[in-house]
Amino acid sequence: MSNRPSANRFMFRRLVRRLLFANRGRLFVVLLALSAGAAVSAALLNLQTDAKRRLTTEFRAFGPNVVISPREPNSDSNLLSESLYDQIPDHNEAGEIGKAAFLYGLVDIENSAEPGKQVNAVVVGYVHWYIHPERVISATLMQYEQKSNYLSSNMHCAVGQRLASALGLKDGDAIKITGGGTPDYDSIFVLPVTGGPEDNQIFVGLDKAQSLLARPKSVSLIQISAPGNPQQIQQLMDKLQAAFPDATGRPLRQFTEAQAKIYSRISGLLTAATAIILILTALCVMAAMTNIAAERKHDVGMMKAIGGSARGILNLFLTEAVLLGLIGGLIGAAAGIALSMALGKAVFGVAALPRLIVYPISVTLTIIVAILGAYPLRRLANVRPATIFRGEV
Amino acid sequence: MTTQPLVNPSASLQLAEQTPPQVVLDNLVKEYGTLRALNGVSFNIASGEWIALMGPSGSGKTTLINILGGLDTATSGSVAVNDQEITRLNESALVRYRAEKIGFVFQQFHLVPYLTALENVMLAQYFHSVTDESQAVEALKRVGLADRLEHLPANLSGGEQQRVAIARALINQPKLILADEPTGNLDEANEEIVINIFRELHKSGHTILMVTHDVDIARNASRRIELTHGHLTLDTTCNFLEQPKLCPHGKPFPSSGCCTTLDSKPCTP
Repeated sequence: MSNRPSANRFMFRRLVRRLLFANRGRLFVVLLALSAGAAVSAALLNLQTDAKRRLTTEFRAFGPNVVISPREPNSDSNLLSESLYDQIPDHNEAGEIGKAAFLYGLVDIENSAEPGKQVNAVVVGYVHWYIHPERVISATLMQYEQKSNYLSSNMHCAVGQRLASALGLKDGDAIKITGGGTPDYDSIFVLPVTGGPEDNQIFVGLDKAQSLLARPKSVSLIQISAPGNPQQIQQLMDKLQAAFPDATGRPLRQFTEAQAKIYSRISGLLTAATAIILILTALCVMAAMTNIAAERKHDVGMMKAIGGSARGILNLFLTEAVLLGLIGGLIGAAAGIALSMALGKAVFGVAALPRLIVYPISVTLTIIVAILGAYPLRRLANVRPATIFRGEV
Repeated sequence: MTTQPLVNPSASLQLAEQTPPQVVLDNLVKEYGTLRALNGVSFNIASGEWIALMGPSGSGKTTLINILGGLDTATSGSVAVNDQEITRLNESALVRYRAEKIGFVFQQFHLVPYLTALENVMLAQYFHSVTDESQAVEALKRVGLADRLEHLPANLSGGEQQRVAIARALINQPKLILADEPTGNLDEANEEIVINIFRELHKSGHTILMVTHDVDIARNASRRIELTHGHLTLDTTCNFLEQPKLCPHGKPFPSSGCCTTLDSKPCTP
C-alpha cells in the first residue's frame, strides 16, 4: 500500500510528459503565445516599476525640488548659517540627496589688463555636495566644472558671457574682484551664453565669496534635490523645518505633483497595456487549446469510459497548462526584462534596471493565463462520454 | 496466433437460469429530443451470460450499452447492476461504477494514441486505484502482445489494438464486459483471435454483452437479443442455425423447445 501514491505519482508524471509531446505542433504555438505574452507583459511591468525611479531621476534633472532660505529675507541678517548646509542629510528613505549652498552679493570687477575699467556685477559663491551636483546647479556651471575642474582651484572664477564682453575678457585673462571684504585676483573662464541671469554674473567658490563679501560662514540659500514621492519630500521638509527654525523650506510642488500625476498616468497606461496583452495571450492560447481539445475529445471520452473522473482528467490538463505557462513564463519574462532594458534606453536614454520582482510576477501571470486558456480542455473534461462518442462535441 | 487464457479456465460457467440476474433493465426509455432511441426495453442478464445484442443500425443497441455502462443517462426506466440502481447514481458514483464494474471494448478501439500499449492498460489501473506495471504486462501477455508493450497504437495492427483494448477492459476485473462491435474493424484472422479471447472470458465466468451485426459472431453467444426501432423484438437462447418461426406473440423465433418469449416463458409454436 505504501507504493500506491508513488506508483500513481509516477504514472501521473508519465501521462503529463506524454501529453506535452502529444500535440507538439499546437502546443508549440501555445508555448510561443505564452512566451510572447510573458515577454511583453514582463517588459511593460519592468518599465512600469522602473518608470517611478526613472521619472524621479528625470524630474530631479530639472533642478532642485526644495529651497531653504531665511525666514525673513528682507531683514538685515537675510543670510543663513553655512552650518545648516552641513546638517542636511545625505540621503532620505528614497535615496541620495543632492544639495548646494549659494551666497549672492554685489562686487566690482576690473580687468587687470585695463586698470580703471570697472563694472558692477553679482558674484555668486557656491558649494555643492558631490552627489548629483547636476540637480542643484545650472547645466552651464556643470559643464564648466567638468571642463575646468573649477572647484579644485582657488585661483579661478567663471564669468558670464555678457559681463566678459563688457570688460573685453577672454579665457585665461586676469581680473580683480572687490567687494566689502578682501579683494581677490583670479584668472577667468568665460561661460557660454545662457540667455539667463548667469550671463551677467561671476561665479566663485563659496569660501572666496564669503571672503570677498565679508560674510564668513554665511549663505543666501540652499537648494536641495531630494528623491521620492511628494509625501517623502514633505517628510524631509518637516524634518528640516524642525531642525532649522530660523530658515524656511519651500518644496517646489509643481514638480513633485506633476511627477506624481505623470507617474500615475504612465503606470495606469502600462497596467492597462499589460492587461490587454495578457487577455490577448489568453485568447490565443484558448484558440490553440480549442483545436487540441478537438483532437483529444475521443481520448477524454475513453478516459471517462474507463473510470476517469472529470477532476482526474482535469488535473492532467491543468498540470500540462501550468507547465506550459511555467516554461513560457520563464523564457518570456527573461526576454521581456531584457526587452524593457532596451526600451528604457530608447525612451529615457538610459537602460531600465531589471527589477527582480517582475520576474516571478510575470511567470505567475503567465501560468494563470495558461490555466485560463485551457478552458476548452476544462469544458471537455466535464462532457458526458456518450456525448463525445456520438460526435456531439 | 495463440493466446493465453485471460483468467482461470476452470472457473465454472454460470448458466442464466441458475443464477440471480446480474443486470435488470426495466422499461428503459431514452429520448433524444423527439427521437425515442429506446422504447420501454426490459430484460435481465444473469451472471456469466454472453449476450449478442443485434438489430439494424439506429435500433438503439449502442444507446443501450452506453446507458448500461454509465456513459449516458436514461430518460426513464431503471437499470440495476448487481442490485445497484445506476440511473440514480450521481456523477462521482458513476465514475466509480465505470471504473470498478464495467469493462468497455469499442469498435474504434479508443486507445490513447500518444500512450504505449502498456500505458494504455495502466491508464485504466490509474483511474481505478493504483498502477501496477507487472500486472499490466501480464494482461498484455495474455492477449498475446508481450512483444508489443512499448508500441504506440499507430504501430499496432487493428487486431493488436483491439487486444490492447480488451486487456485494458479486463485489467480491473470488471463484472460486466460491454463490447460494441469489437470485431467491426477487424479482418477475419484478427476477428478470430479476438473472439477466442471472448470465448475464454465467457468460459471463465465473465458476463458479456456484445453488440454485433455478424451472425457468425453472435453464434458464440449463449443468448441473443434483438432491438428494432428501440423495441426489444427478440430474446432467445436458440441455436442460430435453426430457422425462426413465428411464436404466438407474432415475433420470430427459431424453433420450439429452446426459445423464450419476450416475457421469458417457454414459447410453443
